[in-house]
Amino acid sequence: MTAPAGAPTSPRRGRCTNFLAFAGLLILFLSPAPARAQAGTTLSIFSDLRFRGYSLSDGRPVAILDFAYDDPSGLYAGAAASGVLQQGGEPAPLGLQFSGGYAKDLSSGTTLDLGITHSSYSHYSSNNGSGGRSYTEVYAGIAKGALSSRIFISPHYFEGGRWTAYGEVNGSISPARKWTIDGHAGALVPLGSSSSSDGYRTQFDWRLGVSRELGRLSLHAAWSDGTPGRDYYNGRTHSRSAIVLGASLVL
Amino acid sequence: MTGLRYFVLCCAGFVALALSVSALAQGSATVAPDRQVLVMVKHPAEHFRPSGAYGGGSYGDDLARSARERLARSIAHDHRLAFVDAWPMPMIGVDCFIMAVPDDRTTAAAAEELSHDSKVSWAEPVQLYQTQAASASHNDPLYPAQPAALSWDLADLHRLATGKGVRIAVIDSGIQANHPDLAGQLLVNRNFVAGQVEVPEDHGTGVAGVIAAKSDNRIGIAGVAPDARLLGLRACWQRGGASQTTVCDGLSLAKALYFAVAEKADVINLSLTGPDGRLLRTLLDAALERGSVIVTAYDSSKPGGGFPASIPGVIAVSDHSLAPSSARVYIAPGRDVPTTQPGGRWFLVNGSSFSAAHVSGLAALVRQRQRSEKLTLVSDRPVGGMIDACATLVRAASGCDCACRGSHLAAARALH
Repeated sequence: MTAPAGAPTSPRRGRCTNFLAFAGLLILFLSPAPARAQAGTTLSIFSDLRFRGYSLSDGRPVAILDFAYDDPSGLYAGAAASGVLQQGGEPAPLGLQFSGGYAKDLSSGTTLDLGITHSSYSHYSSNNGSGGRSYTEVYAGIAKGALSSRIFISPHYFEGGRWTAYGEVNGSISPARKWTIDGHAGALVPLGSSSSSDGYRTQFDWRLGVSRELGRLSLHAAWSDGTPGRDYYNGRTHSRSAIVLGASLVL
Repeated sequence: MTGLRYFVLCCAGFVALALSVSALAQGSATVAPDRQVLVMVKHPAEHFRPSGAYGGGSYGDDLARSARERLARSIAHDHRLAFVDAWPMPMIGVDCFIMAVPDDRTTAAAAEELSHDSKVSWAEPVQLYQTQAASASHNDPLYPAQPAALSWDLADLHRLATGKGVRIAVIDSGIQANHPDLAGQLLVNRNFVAGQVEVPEDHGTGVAGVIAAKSDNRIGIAGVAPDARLLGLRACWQRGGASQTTVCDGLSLAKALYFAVAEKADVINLSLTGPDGRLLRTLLDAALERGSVIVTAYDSSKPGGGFPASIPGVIAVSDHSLAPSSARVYIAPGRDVPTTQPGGRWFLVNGSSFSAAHVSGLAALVRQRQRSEKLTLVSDRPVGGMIDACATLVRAASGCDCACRGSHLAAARALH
C-alpha cells in the first residue's frame, strides 16, 4: 500500500492499549446481551485484505474475526481482529479495529449515523515502512433503502498530522433470494499535513461485489480498483485492480 | 506447504463445516406453517459496520445477520421453541423471526407467551388464508364473451388507457408466465412458499389473465390492463383433490407483500381472505402509506368481509351474485369470466377473486392517467356499489376531452 511515510509506528504501549481494548470488547460481546440488544460475531477468510483500493496484507490471504453490538437505544460498537498468512505459510497478527457510534431511524425511512473508528495494523501489514500504521476517523452517514453515503474525517491518516476526508457511496441490490450485489465508490481527499510530506493527490476507489448466503455461510467475490497510481508491496508495484474471494461464517 | 495451498485447504474445510451447519439449520425449515409463530423484534437502525474487510460492504450484512440470529436463538431457547429463519424488515422497523412450536402447545398460546417477553415487540401465529374463487362451473373451452367487455366497455376504456407503465403485484398462487396470453407480461415471477417449487396454478394464472392478458393478439382474452406489467408473487398454493382449493399461509403472504411494497408496486391484488394478522396489517398500512392501491376480495360470510377487506383504505370487491351488507364494498364482474389457465388454456371462472382482479386492472388504467392522487372509484353509491368503470377512468383522465354517456364512453376525441 502506498500509505505515505510520516510518523514512526506506535510504541509497545500503543499495542498494549489496543490489546486491552480488544479484550474488553471481547468480554462485552461474549457476555449475555441485555434484553433486546443484538450482538453478532462472524469469522471470515479472504484472499486479500483490500482497503480503499490498496492491499493491507501484501496480497496475502487473511482471516478476520468481527464483533458487533447493537443497543436498542441506537448506540452501537464493533471490533475486528485480523491475521495474515505470511509467505512461508505462518499466520501473523495483522490489525485491530474498533468503532462506536449512534444510529437513528427517522420517520421518513432514512437513517442517520454518527461514529468514530480506529484501526491499527502490525508490521506484518503492507504499511511496514517508516509510515504510520494507524488512523482514527469520525464519520457521519445517511442511509435510505439500499443506498448509503458517508463522510469520514481523519486527523492522522496513516501519518501523524495528515488530515484527510473520505467520502463514499454504497448500494446493494438483491437480484434473487440469498444473492446480494453491492457496489461502492469512494474518494480520499487530502486536507493538509503538518509533516514535510506533501503532494498527495485525491485518491478514488471502487468495488463491485457479489455474495451468496448458504445457511450460516456467506461466499463473497469482489472486484476492486483505484486510481491514480499503483499499489506497492513486496518490493515492487502492483495493479490496484484486484479480485478478492472470501467466505464468512455467522457464529 | 505454500501459502496458497494452505489457503485453499482452509477454504475447503471452512465450506464443508459451514455447509454441514447449514444443512442442519435447513432441516427445521420443513415445519408446517400452521405450527409456526412469527416473532417480531425491533430492527436496529442500519449503520456503518467497519468490518476488517473493505469497510463493510455486504460483509457487514453478515454481522447484522449474526446478531439477529443470536437474539432469535435466545428467544427461542427461553420459550422452548425452535428457531427456523430470520427475516429482516427494516422498512417497517422490525426483524421477523420464524419459530416452530412443539406439539404440546398451540401456536396461539406460544404467541401469547412471547408477547410478554420484553425483547419481543409482538408475536402472532402463522395463519392460513383462502382465495375466494368459486369452483369452475364447467370445463368448456374459452368462452367468447368477457363480462367486462360488455358492462365496462373495455375496448373504449383502452382508448384512454391500457395500464402502460403501471406495475401490479399479484399475490396469489403460481402463474404460468409462458402462457400464450401472458408471455412477456410478468416482470418477475417469484415463489415465496417455503419448501415448494414454483408451478403454474389455476387461481394465480386466472387472476393474472383477468388483469393483464395481452390484447389484440388474436388469441384468448383481453386483460383489463393489457399494457400493465405484473409482479407474480406466489404466496399461495393449490391443494390436490377434487376441490382444488387454493390456500396461503401468513408468512408467505407477508414475504410477498413486503416484496411488493419494497418494489413500489402501484397496485397490489390480494384475491383472498382470512384471519386478521398484525404483521400483514402493518405491511398493508406501509403499502397504503406509500401510495399503493390495494384491492382484495370481499367475503360476505365473514364480519366486515374478512381480512384484509376490513382494513380501511383497502378496496373490497365482490362479484355480482353477492349482496354484501357493507356499504363500502364495490361490485365488479366476477361471474362466468373467461381467463387464462395453466397448460396454455382458457376456462371460465367465478368468484370475488376475479372481481378484485377486474378492479386491480381498472386501478392500473387510472394510475396510468393519474399517478399521484388517491384512487377514486365512481359507482352508483357515494361509497361502494356497482363500479362505473368509464366514469372512474374519465375522472382520472384530466387531459381527455371525453365524457361518459350513461355507463359508456361517449367520446374520446383528443388526448393531450
